[in-house]
Amino acid sequence: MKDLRQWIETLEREAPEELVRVRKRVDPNRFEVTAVMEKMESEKRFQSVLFESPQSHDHGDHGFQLLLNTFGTFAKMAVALDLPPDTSKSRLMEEILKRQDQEKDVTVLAPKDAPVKENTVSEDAVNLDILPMVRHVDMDGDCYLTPIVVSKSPLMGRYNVSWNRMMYMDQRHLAIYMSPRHLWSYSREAEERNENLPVAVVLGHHPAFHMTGALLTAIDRDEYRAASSFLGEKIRVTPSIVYGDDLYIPADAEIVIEGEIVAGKRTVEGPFGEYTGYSGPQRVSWLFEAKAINFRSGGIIIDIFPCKTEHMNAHLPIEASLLRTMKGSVPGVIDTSWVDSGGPLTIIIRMKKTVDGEPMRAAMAAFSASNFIKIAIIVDAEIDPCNLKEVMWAVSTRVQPETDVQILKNLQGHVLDPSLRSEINGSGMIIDATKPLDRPFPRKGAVPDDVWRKISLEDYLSHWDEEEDA
Amino acid sequence: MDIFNLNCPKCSKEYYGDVSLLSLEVELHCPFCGSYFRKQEVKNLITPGRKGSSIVRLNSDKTFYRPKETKR
Repeated sequence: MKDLRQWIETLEREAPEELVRVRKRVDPNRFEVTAVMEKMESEKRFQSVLFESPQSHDHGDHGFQLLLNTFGTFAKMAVALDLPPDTSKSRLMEEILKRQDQEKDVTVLAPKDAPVKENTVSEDAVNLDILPMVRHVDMDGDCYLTPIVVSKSPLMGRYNVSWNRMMYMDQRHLAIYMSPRHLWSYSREAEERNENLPVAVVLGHHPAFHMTGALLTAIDRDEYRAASSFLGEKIRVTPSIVYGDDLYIPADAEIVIEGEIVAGKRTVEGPFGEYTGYSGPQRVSWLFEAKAINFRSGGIIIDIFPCKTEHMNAHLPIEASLLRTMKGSVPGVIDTSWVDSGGPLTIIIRMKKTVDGEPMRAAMAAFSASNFIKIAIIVDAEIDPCNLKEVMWAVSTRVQPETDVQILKNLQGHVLDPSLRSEINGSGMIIDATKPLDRPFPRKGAVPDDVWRKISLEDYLSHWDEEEDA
Repeated sequence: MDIFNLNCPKCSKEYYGDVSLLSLEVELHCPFCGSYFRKQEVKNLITPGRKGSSIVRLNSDKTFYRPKETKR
């Protein structure tokens, strides 16, 4: 049975350098938590940090804990997928795709057997102020939760698992922002019937469960089953307090808020420091009304610091899906750099080109698979897509802008892209930085390989050092 | 989406929002002091169409000279 506590134990055993505990009392509402994380990132430290005594929103201490940087390194994500901490990014992506292909069922537990029901509050006793909530960057509209939201299609009954930002409004209300994907479409279906949409707001579970929220899953695939595949075992769910068997909640979660996205209601939400690195503008969002809270004693909230490395890393399942889609279209595609490219909307694609035009097809496959992609740069097999110096060298020397840069118009952009001028309509750019095949092209300058192999620097540099000493 | 800039009428701090908010009868919310206010209370709302020229650096802190005598 996998849960967040089991993952923390495994991490502390297999990669103890990957997690630190903070016992000092901290105030997440006053940027104290994110200031610690920002300082660590500035020192290239990406350990998970478990804040054991964060102040709750009501300034009290209700025993909850906060975990940040859960996805700060690929090592931690590897441990979440039962792999050794030193697993490479490409192997990690292989595992993600393998697990995506597996079909696993779910196990329904009776409420009395569900750990998340250790404590429950409902009706008038519901008060979100008992939770610690993080204000991340200076312009954030209020404190935010960065949960996984579980919803169920009113028409098809399919469960969806998605990552959504939720801003504190008052003791029973949160604002929820939804990009136009599956949860958004469920909310729309419910609203058209003048009904609220029941959802479960999951604040902490095994990281593999949270990674399910970043999958590009087909609309006909149930995402509780996808979560089982990702966890590598059947996910355990249990009836909710308010909706019973009509909405199952994860039995091994740390904290689950039950409630509804209210039909016909909107609210002003934000600004919010988003994964793009910018404080996104204040905008109109939907209203969530809390109806019940289930929680384990000492419940651990996973919080994502959205402007930082861990948020991009959490998108690795999307990069894996993009790679698969591109390989399906153009087998010569080798690997990609997106989450580690430094550009939240830019993917670098490495491929062995066999005919001209293939780079365009590979890039188009990425564009059609996800609106996260605005710029695609395609490089040859000898260029490391994770080495931006090599990538820029290829772009500088293999690209004639007139012929090798294509602008795609009227694409669905990403609503969080600050350069978008309209609500969602955007454009894309493909930079083909591969060498042409239809004419001779210069070689990269290099010393002859046979001489390179024979040379040992010590034969030369140590001699020099001795002469210097003499 | 284009954004507007404003200074909160209560605390004067600057923040921004999606321009679509301006077409709605909603109260805006200052992320710094938490106050709610209507757009009509804002003195220096800067929208994309009202930003003016970046060359002559036209913004809300500029005043305009008007000759004392009426021209014929």
